[in-house]
Amino acid sequence: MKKWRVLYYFGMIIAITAILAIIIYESVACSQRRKMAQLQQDALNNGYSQTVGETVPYPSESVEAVVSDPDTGKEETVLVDSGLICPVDFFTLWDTNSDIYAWLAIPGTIINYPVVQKSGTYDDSNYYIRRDLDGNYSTAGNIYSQHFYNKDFDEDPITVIYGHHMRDLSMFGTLDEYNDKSYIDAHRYVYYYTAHHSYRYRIIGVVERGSDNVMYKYSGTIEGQGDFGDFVNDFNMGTFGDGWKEEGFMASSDDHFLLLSTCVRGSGHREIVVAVREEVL
Amino acid sequence: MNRKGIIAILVVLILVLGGVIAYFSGVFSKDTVESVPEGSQSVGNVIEYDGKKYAYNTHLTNILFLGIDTNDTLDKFSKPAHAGQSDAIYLLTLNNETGEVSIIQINRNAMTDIDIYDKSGQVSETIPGQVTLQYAYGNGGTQSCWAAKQTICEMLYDIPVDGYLVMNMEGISTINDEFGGVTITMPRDYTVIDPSMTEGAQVHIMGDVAERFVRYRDLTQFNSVADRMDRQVLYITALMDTMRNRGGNEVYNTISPYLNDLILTNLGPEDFNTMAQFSYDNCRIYQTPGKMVDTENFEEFYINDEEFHKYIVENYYMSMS
Repeated sequence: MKKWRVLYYFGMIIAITAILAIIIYESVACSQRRKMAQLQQDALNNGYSQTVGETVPYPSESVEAVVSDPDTGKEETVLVDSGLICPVDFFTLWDTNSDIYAWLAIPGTIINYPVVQKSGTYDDSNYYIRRDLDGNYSTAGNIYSQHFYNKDFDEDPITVIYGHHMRDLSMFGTLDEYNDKSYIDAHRYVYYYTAHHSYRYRIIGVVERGSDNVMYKYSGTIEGQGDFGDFVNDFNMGTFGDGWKEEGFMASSDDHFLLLSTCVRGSGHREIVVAVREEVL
Repeated sequence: MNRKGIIAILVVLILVLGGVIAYFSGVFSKDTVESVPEGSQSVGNVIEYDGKKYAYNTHLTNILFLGIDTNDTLDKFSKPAHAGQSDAIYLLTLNNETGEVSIIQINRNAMTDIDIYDKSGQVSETIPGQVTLQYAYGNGGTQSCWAAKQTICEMLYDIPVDGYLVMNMEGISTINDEFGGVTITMPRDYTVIDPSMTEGAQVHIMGDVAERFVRYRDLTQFNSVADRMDRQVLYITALMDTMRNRGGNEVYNTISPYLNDLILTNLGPEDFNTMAQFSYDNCRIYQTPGKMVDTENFEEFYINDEEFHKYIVENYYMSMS
């Protein structure tokens, strides 16, 4: 009898410890999510009133402002020509972490995040895969690009942004929704903001591919590997990956591409959303 | 109740507790952009100075003005050291409680630690240099503004800067004329800048004269920067009065065609409106205390740390006793 008792209590302790661990993990993850939510609010609220209901920043040509007459004190809402202001406040972002260099937003989705890039050695390429903006361990990490391959965002023909396929749907947890054609149609545009320019991209491919590093293969900087021209060919031939491609779209060497890369759960493959640069705003 | 029953109940309670916490922490929710509570009015930063505690006066709004000496538009990404020097550095402080306005003029030759940024926006090294160089050693555009703000904040003993307005000095005449020019009474003879500027004369400044008035300095004179600072302050307060008469959103409309080109700012129409509520007639001007040293090549200004720190604490903090 005693043996069962010991086993019983032992089992209870394991169960309780496991539950406590989950509780602690969740509260840490919770506070990290909360910090990110606060950053979204701070960085996307640069003093201008945002249109009600929109949580995704659009570069705006005119903004609404509530102004008051200095003499009468009367308040009124006016539409002011803003000269296409970037809706992202980079000062707030840089005050938080100077590795942040861009903002990625897909209207209608929860993908609305700062993009980081750690410079340094090649080994620092994936620094932010499991790190939050304070440098602490975080299972969600941040969406990031690899310094080794990302030289000049304006000029680079391909930029790859990596992010976790989070079960709680944060980061790139919702990218798998793009396997549905109607979702693609409803969420076709991607906005990317840097301190110098605002860009709009159009999604023209959603593919599944092996786990090799896309830039290693196509950057044109690794001996024995390919270059951008090979990417253009492979994409047009359909050999870049299996999946959907926009009908009638042919990549050319003048195009600039943004690739959102996340893992496909259970297979070790990557799901890659391919978008072509449409406009620099 | 027997032992087993109690333990069973405890386990269930813990599971329920775990479930409740997991629920509130959003494990089950699709939308992870949680609503965050309204930012509460923060108690000002508490510092200790000279053995006493002080809290930052949160009624103050600080706006950093920089005038950049460059021939390019401000939004360009520039090679390291090419973004242009910030030859005019002013901190405008508005007291929302008392309506008082004050300006700290920072001598562009004040020596401090300058961060040298590489192309990717990382600091590659830090060297001593004149504060005017910090903007130049950023990457241009917003990043230089931020780099300059960081360095200047340090010089100001880390008081918060709430907004910035950076102007290409090449554009001062354009902006001047957009507002219909300014009228200034000359405190001394400035006929070297324009023949009409005799002492005591009330001059309406338009066109190129505006640029000359704020940029000219007599390079044969030691510490000619100080005289230029006097003129800049005269000009700025006169311009602010003109803007005030126009009204905040009108000011914004007037400058918005020049944004990202001649002017970089994070101030919006509502901020200009707020600034228009203040009177700039009795604006208190404070120049960074210290002494000028003429080295072989360049002028170096060394801020009197003790005096400047005292000024900041006395004017930006409230004693907690």
